[in-house]
Amino acid sequence: MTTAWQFYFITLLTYSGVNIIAAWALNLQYGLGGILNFAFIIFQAVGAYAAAVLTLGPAGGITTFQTYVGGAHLPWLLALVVATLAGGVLALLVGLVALRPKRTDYQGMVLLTVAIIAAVVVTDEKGWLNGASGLVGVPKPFNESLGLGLIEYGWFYVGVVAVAVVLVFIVIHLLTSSPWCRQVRAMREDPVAAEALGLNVPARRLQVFVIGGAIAAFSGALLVGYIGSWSPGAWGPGETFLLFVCIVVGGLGNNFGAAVGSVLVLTVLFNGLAYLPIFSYTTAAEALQLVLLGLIVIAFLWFKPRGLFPERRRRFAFPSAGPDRGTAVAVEEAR
Amino acid sequence: MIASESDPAGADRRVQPAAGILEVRDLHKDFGGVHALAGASFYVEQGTITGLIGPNGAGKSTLINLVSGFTPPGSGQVVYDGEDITGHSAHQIARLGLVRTFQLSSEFARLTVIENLLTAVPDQRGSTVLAALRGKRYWRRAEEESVARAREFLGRFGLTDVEDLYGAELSGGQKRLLEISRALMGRPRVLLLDEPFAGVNPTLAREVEDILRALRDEGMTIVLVEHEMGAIDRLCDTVVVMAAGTVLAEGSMAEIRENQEVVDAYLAG
Amino acid sequence: MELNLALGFGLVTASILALGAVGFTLQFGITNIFNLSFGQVMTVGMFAAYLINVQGGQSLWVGVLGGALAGAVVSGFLNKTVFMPFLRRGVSLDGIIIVSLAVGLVLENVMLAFAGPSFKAYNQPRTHSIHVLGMILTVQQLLIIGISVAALVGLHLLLRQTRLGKAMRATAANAGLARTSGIATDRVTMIAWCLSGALCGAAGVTFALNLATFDTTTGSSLLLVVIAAAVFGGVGQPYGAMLGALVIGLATEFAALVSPNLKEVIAFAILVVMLLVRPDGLIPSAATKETMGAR
Repeated sequence: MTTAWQFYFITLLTYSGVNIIAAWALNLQYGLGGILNFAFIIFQAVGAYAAAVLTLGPAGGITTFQTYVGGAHLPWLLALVVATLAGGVLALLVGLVALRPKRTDYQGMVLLTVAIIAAVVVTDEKGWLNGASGLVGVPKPFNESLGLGLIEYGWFYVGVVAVAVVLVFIVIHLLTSSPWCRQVRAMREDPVAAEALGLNVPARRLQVFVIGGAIAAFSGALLVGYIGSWSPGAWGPGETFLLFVCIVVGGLGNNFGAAVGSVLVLTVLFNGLAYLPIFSYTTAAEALQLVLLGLIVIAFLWFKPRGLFPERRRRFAFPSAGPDRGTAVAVEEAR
Repeated sequence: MIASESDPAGADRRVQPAAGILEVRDLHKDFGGVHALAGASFYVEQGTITGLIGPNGAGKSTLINLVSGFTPPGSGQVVYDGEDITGHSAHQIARLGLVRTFQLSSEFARLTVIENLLTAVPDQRGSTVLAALRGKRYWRRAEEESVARAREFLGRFGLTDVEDLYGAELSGGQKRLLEISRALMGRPRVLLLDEPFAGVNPTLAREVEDILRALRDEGMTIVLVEHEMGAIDRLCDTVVVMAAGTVLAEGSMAEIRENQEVVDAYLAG
Repeated sequence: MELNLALGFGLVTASILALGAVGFTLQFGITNIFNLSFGQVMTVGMFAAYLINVQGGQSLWVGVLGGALAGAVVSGFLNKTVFMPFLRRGVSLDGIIIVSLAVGLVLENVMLAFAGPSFKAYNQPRTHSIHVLGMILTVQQLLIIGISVAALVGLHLLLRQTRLGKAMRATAANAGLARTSGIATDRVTMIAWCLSGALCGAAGVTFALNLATFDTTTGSSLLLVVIAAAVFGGVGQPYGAMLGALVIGLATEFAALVSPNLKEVIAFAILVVMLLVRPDGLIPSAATKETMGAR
């Protein structure tokens, strides 16, 4: 394989891993929790920014061409953890405000507005995160200590992302197969009835929102470690919509579906074309790609509203009377 | 039976001794100048079935919404088991054992029937984030117990065969049954039923009546809003007649029939 | 002096926003959906006027009419082919928002594919400025105010004086009841979408005119400001939307005196605060009050 093709696949795989993680987070929030998080991308952004400034080192010195706050030289893993927490904290603050309206579409409108305000403010306030130009030169994780060549390092990072995907999957799987998630789904179906059964709906919505926000930030931190730069251009509200497309196509409320959807929509349809080394991109081609994307969403919502892999019907095996009571709990049936 | 009567000192939250497990004192509620409730008061004895009747717009639904915490009160008090619960949030009230159902069916459409019931189990193990992260091993046993209990209710309400259907896939009558059995999973002490027989066929309605009577005999307190007077007559120990946001009369069905005021205002019409 | 200038600009902005906000709210009042493709329909209006004015060599004011007409046609078409069928299927309001985003994406990128990413400008006759009460406005700006006032007065007469207006108000208040009392709610809804689209198209053209240049994203960038004005007065209420447009129009222009960057942020801040504190707007209607409580 030529270097260009190897680089192509490294990029594609890294993006796919990041997108799968992001799609799981959004699926938790919207597919399972019913929260119309049109601000999703700002949580990925905060993770990327946090990981960037925490590894770039203090502003000034060799990086005088860009200004930002909170610069530090943290080890990458620590920066990753702090970035993830930053996403959770931002989600907590935003969620306390944005999830107040009773109607979920109103919540969505507030979140969309928050996302746009965030983009305007970060772009205009050059002193915070270097405004529209964004941050560049973010160190590659472990690059110095490994001393690998560009392509070897690329494959190493694909491995890092793969580990991250597995870790997030474990967390997501534990959460979504639990009684907690059942209550989250109940709240999605009918928040008023859930409240009447004693579930604290606002608190639970906030939990879902914060966990999703943290995972989104985690994905952003992973992404910036690979691409090395981050600017407002990377996190417009349109990016959030792309992730909605992924989970609508894959199947709302189904983790496997969300992953498949993100691979189909973003890896194959989107990045697959955009990063092809032999493909020159024009405005018209890009525009038609987005037209296609919009039509796919409409077609799916019309013909296959539950997506390619609908939410699974959870069945409970009959409890056995014998000493081995291990088989009684939810057997998921793939349909 | 009622703790507050034998406990003159009273705990902090105790208010005047309540006359029953649930007491409503002089409730007022305005909606933009319309007096939905204008001083409604009545009480409910433990272990009885109380019917709440009255013409449309009498304030029955507002009363239920207010008692269950879904509408903030204007003024007045709701006392449950000796505790002033006025202004508590809906989920707090439900947790205290005062559980309501809705006029419109409110099944969780994309949860299976048994999942609908399991959702209502209070403090189900594994229903917090941290517990969920500890994995199946941590909550499996409790889940099995809840599944078994849910199946008892499903059996009692004739829903065993539809255990794995989604809520949305049930018939109208089955949805009402699902809703009542789901409310029961929360181990309520008082059940507020908002038109439980609406849309239920007469045969099934009779079966539900039997179940409600059996629940009462086990010590459950039931308050129901209903338009079907036959059911009220057969079921209720006490009937509260509401009109124009206040309580017009209160007593057994026989007494209510004797009450000329009520007959004029409501029953005759 | 500066204050007077800002007042003038504020009135122009308010006139444009009023067209959009009333259009948005008219459709929302009847269908209850946040139609986020509204921004792109504004852009359709801009391009229709561009075709008429620049390519066709017609007067700009013919262009405004053309923009309104294009808005009406596209909006009606979307209702017929997309929104109405989805609503009939009982898709949730959340689902419909996603549909409307997808529709917007399609519209915007179809225009991008044909028109390209460059900025466009109308052929405007050079005119002098006019001083009115200390405000300095161009003839175009005065005409924008005039168009807006005329359109809104027309709408007022339609809503208050005609059977159709009465049917529209009845449908907005309670569609089920309106249907049972013999109103052809589907037809009324269709007309509302077309009217809404016409106002939307007119808002787009006047906005682009006032801005001097526009591209395929101009309409969507205006969308949230329009929604802010609509929400301010209580979504679904035309007169509230006019008030909202006035307040937001003036607020943004006065904020721009402090810092140009504040202009949008102040409108968004108002939108967020309104959605949080008074989701029914300043003047809640009787219908929303009933639905506010639990079922």
